[in-house]
Amino acid sequence: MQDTLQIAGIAAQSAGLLVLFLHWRAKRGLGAVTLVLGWTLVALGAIPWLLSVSPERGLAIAMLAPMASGLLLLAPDGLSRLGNGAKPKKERGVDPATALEPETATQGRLSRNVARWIGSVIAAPALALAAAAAWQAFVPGAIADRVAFSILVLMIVWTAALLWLLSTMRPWIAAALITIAAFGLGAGAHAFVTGGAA
Amino acid sequence: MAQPIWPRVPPSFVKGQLIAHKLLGLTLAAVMYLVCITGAIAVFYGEFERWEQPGVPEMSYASPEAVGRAVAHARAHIAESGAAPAEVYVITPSAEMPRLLIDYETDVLAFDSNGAYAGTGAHELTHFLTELHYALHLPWQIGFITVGILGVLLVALIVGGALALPRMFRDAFTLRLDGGRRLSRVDIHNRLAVWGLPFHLLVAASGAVMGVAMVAIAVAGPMLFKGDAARAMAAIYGDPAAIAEQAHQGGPPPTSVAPEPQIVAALHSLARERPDNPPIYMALNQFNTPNEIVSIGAGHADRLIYSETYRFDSSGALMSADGYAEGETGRQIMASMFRIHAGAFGGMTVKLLYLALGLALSFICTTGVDIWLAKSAARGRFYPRLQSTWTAFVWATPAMLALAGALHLMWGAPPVTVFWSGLLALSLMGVWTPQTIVHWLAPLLAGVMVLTLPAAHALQFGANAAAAVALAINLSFVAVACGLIALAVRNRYRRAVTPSLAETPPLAAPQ
Repeated sequence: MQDTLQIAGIAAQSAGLLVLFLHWRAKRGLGAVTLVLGWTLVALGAIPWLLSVSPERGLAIAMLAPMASGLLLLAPDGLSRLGNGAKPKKERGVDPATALEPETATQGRLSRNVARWIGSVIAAPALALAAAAAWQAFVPGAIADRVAFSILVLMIVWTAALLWLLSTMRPWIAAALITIAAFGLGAGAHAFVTGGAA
Repeated sequence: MAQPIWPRVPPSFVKGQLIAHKLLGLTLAAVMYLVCITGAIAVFYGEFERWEQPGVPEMSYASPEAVGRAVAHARAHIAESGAAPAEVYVITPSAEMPRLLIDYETDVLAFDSNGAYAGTGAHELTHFLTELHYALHLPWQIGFITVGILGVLLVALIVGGALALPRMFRDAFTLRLDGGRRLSRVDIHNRLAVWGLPFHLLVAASGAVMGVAMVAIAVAGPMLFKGDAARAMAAIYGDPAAIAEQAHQGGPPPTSVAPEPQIVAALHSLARERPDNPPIYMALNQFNTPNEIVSIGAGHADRLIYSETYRFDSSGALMSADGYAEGETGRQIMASMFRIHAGAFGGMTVKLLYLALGLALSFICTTGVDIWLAKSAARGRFYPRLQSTWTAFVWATPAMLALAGALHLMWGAPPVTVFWSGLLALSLMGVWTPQTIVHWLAPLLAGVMVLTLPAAHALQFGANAAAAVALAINLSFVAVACGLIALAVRNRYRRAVTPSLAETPPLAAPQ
């Protein structure tokens, strides 16, 4: 019974992906209802896993089927284009997603890159550490929870700081602000702890 | 095509994220590729351990008495050898590892189902592979934290890459293999990244959490325990002195008679009080000291936690649990990271999916650099030596993993030295070898070197190389080698009609 349910779940998720694929293939789409139906099937297909094993394990397994189905559904487009002949089509269009446009060689590029390096290597990790420390100091709860969640905080803050630093055209300002925030958070956490409140 | 359902993102934001993705990706490509490809292969670490010692007896169950006899033998063996390990681990037979092994600092001892010594169970090659993945062969604490930081940076790469794809859903099924080498690479890179996104994010985040946990605990010392790092460790993992004191209340310390009564009693206690949680391993902490502590890591079939740790007193009675299964949320999250990261939660199907998605992530690393090279070439900036070196490095990695393994199997050559020196030499050869040659020669060499591994295994172990798991792995190596050689032949043939990425003529005249 359990296996049947789980196979039904995988089938539902794959069917959902197929609906999304058909929606994508239609020139003007198949409408919002189809789109919602596709995503609903993907979500509903996860239920047997969530019910038959623990939620976290069920979720982990339930995510794998759509990923595999999605990759398999790339085949129709890829294979049909392979049959178009040996001569490749002329590359078209300017798609921001495919452009990977490098920064143009403008004045101050070296300075910006220096700021990015300094910020990435020193400021972003410092802010991440300060945020983890502040979480441990300020957030109430069991020790294990405070430490475990501080790791997630560290990861999120580091990621956000890094992406901001590397993507902005004013990395010196970003690096300075991140450094100030790191000092502020770190000093605040230290003062809070040495004050005996933790 | 379908209407986009992703909110419209300002082009300047997308451009910024593309720059961030490019800078981060190019900086980390090589080391990220190493970590990703070894991680994808290391999903099968249990199978590799069995392949490495194919003659070791396998069983689905070993009685507590058999385990007790094995521990008594190991205790005597360790005393004779003069070793003084702080911890000794007893791996009890389970579906994941159907063997009875005792693992300590310098050796692994294998036993049969009666607990009689059956030879060595050492698996240095598997350690070589897994330690390359989680520590890059650096001293383990430095390496573990370094790879943890790489996990954080991989999260940033994945998030940044997703933010840079405003047409993520609109192009979800597009694969323009006819769009020229550059566009096809971009599509492969983006589609693999998008469909593998949940997996890539989970694997990167779980690796990061495991790697930087030590940093968080180091921070917890000054933040929560007035600078006392030992108390921070004790709060997370338990206080060894307090546990030992509690354990002493059960009676006198363990004796060395066979089977060891404390071991037998502990396993019986677990079976009686936790019948649904079979043992995976037994840890003997502070080994051979008056404060020796016995704990058993037991599986919880429906959960993602690796195991719950049950502690036993010196009479073998169940004393406490560490709370990974039912304790604080943070403890449960930490204990779940390994199975999520290694794909050890759904049998062989999940492992194969992890292998495929892990290889996809490795491929994403390589195509990222390829795309940059092609874009540069399109703007009139050619880096032919960089491209040939990168291609050489990419193929040299699996080649040297295989060759290091084969040389170790045949003559006991140190795999770490062979791997790194070979990887460096082959990558450097790419500097002076034209891409037109590297393009087909590198996969050919990789295929041939992969082929040496099952050959060396068969020569070394004879009929045992055809044992169930060993045969499956050896046949997989042969299949991979054939695939690589076929790819080399294809590249050699197609080279005549297709220019390399870095030499693609510019689409428009560069300004």
